[in-house]
Amino acid sequence: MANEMYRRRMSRTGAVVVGVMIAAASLSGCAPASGGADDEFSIVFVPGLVEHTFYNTLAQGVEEKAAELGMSYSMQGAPEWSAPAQTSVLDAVCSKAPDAVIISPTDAVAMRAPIERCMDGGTLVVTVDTHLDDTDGLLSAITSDDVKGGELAAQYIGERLNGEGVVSMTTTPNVVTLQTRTASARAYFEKNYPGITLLADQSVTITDEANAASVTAATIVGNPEVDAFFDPSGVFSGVIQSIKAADDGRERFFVGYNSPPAAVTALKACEIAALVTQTPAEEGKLAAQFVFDALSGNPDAVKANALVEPQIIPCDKANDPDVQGLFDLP
Amino acid sequence: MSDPEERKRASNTGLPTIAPAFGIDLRGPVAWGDRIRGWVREGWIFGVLLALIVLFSILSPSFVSLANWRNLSSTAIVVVMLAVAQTFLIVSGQIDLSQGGVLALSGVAAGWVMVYGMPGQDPVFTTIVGFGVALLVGVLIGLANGLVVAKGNMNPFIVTLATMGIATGLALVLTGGLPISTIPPLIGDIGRISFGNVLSIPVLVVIVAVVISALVMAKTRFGSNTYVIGDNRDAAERAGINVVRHSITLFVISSLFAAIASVLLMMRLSIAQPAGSTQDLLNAIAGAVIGGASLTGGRGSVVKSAAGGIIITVLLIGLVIVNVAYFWQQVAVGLVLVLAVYIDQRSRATRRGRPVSQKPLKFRATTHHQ
Repeated sequence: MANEMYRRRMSRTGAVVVGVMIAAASLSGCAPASGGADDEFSIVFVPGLVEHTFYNTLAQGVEEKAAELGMSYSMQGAPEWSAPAQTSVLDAVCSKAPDAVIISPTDAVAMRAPIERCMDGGTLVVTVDTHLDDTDGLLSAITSDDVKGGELAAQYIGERLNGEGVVSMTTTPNVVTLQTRTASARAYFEKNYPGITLLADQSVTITDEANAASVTAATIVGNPEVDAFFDPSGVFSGVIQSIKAADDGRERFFVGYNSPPAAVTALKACEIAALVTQTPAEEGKLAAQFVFDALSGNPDAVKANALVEPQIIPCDKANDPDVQGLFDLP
Repeated sequence: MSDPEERKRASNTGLPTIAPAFGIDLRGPVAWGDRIRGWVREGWIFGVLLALIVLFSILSPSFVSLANWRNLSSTAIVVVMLAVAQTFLIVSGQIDLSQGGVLALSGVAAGWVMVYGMPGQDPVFTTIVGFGVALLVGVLIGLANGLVVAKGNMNPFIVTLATMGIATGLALVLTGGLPISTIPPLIGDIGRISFGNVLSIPVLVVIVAVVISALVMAKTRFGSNTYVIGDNRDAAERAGINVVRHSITLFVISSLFAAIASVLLMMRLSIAQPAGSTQDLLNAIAGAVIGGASLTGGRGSVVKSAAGGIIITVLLIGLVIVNVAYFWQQVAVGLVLVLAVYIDQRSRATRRGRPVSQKPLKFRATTHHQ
């Protein structure tokens, strides 16, 4: 009967009310999932955007560690990568004054003010993955080591080519993390592998596989002697497709970055030679550990700045059980 | 590139480009000298394309190779489709900034339906439904754009900018920002079918689309009405053209072409991807402008817009081939755009100097459509 009435009311009031209810429900979900028992520390994770395999994996790391240490956990995020949207979510989360918020800021400057408001309310804040320019007052800033990521890729390529060959790298203008990865790979090659020729960096748009396919094919046409490709932005299918399509009897390979499920499938088939993974779950676990240490009177164990080291997974090791945890969740 | 549209324009030297659309040469017999000057004036864009190809071939002999042709032709698909469709709107004095969003959304909507909407179905059936979904999304967005712009009398720039945001956002929501990579392999197989290893199915589709569009613009009442609306909307209304309905149709054509481009992109990549569309849109508009289309309406040629799109593609691919770093590629495209507009303005200024050039304005408004 109650159901019947509910349904009737829903049909009367229409989509606007549904929207408001969803919004209200999502905001009210900010309270600790357990109902907020007083003896339990509460953590809320605010990702850069929801429904993204990278952040889902990071969230799983936070959740696992929180459960292990007896803390309550919930996640609240916006469906889009946007500072205003994330600000609304964060303000709502912090109005409930949880013990700690773990957040991936969508903007290094714009997110400072809402995070400061949150800290003023007595909540500890840890940033993960992305960061703020001004880290004053944060419990910790945890990021993936992009310099190390580029070096790992360069080291893999250099070893596989025995120090001799031609390498093409891509990057994405205006995205500092991606440019850092390409630049550190270049520096590593120049220092350790003088026998390797580096072509001029080419640009790819993030997640634009068509663009990646065109640039890769053109690079092969213009430089048939190219042996290896490295992209730090996460494209892969366009690159491996153009490598396959070249079909000139020359062996070429590709090293990619990040590990969404489709890339892992390609890695396991050795279409991708190696993937640098950012181990998001490790970042999540470390963040939860720091929160616990700070709240349970062990602040010395907390590092204000922590770099989580990425790892490189060559395709022949992609099926090992112990590396599966490094990949993004499906 | 001597399609009927071009020949007409060339033979009507001294007249604004609208005259050939009416199929009437007001000047009667033309001297050979004038004729050649006319060809140069109207056809210099193809000269630029040829010059670029020659330049890159000298810089890197592998530019003239089957592998490069395959890459160039399949890279040009999207920008040419969008530039051609954009020409219809630009000629009518409007613009469609939502093409990029349509490109992303119709592709991933199709991918989503094929992968999550109908698991385990026959791949041929799945593919047909997927293509249908892509085209339907295109038509619906075009219809929405057209209705809001034409019926609501709103600025197409603002309306389609909004639709661009909505469509791009929905594409990201639908996919979480990642490509859908498990669409039926059949789609990639279709994309790899190629006649004589040279003409792939997607390239063929684009060629057919360009030819049909050029004929429609040059030979049909629909095409001439488009020029008239762009040149003088009030005159078009007075002449009895249903401007509202015509505009809606133009927006549907524009979105439909973008949706077809998304299908061709799926054939190329064997994935449905939610991204990359803004740059394609800008390149398409730049292509149309390089091809001489006037953003104030009344002027433009489908074939030249296609050539403009190809010029941009040749530049981008060529600069990668000769190993130029990426920031210079943007500079080069910008320079070509400015140069093209400059040459175009100069050649029009020369034309305006001729007394005959004022004639068709009167002719157009009074004789033809009353």
